Amino acid sequence: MRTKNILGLLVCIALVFCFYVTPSANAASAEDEILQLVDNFDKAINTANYELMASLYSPKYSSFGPPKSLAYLIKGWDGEMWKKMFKHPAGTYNSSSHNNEVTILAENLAMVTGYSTITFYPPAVKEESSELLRSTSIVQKIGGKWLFIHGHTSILPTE
Amino acid sequence: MRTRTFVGLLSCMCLVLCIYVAPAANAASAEEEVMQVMNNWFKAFNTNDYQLMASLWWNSPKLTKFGPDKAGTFLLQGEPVITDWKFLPADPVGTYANSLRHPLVTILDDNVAIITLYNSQTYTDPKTKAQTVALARGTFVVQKINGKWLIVHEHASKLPTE
Repeated sequence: MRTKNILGLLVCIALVFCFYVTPSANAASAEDEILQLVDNFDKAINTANYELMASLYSPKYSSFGPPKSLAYLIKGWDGEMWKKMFKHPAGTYNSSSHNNEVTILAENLAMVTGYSTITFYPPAVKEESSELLRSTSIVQKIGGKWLFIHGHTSILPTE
Repeated sequence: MRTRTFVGLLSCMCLVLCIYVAPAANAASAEEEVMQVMNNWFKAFNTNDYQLMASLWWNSPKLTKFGPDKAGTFLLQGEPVITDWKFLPADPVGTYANSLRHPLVTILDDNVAIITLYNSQTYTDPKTKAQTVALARGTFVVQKINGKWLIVHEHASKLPTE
């Protein structure tokens, strides 16, 4: 009888341990989920995937971009710009983000700072061109999904 | 007796009205409080007031900044973001004339907001009096920490020309 009690107790402890460990093994941390958003941004550029790119932004998105055309604050996500860019075949643009740092600002708000290298391989020309950028992204968890709500991307200052 | 009841009722209504109105008259909205941080940032810069400038930032290792010029190219973190402003008192007042343009406050949460803005800066060389004008854009992330709105991140960049 005593052995059965000990065995039962051990099974219960093992069960509780399993319940405790299993969810954390599967669930990504907020930081991981946010870094996945940045990875998806790179992936969308590298595969010229308009639908994937469109799925990463909140309708309330606003941004300062690196070229002259994006010098002033753009309110809303500029789908036309991406459509134009993705008319080129996949592989024309390559984006590689690095040194990303996530700062959690509130339960559903965070900031990502980092750098990215955008390389342009013009199909008709053999020479490639690269630009190193720095960026600040504000992201918000809306409907269980992290989305970009503000971006400030600028080229590295030379003076 | 009826008059006394009526006066009593009126007094109660006045009291309720006063309680309802008084705090609203004094308390600034979150947008106003956040905007005050930005106004103070410009005031501190234009009057070379390091103490005021230092008081606007979150004194934490998590404080970060991308600056508009070459010295601020890469992410600056923690206390150096604040001490970087120590150059201010060394220059005479009037060296930097910053003008805040089109500020936009977006409250994201009870304690988190962003401000986007443009800054037209005229720099007057103290020796030669030669002037240069630069136009920059900025994103400031502010957080209400211990009841006070503080800058936790700045990304400033010159307006792209190409």
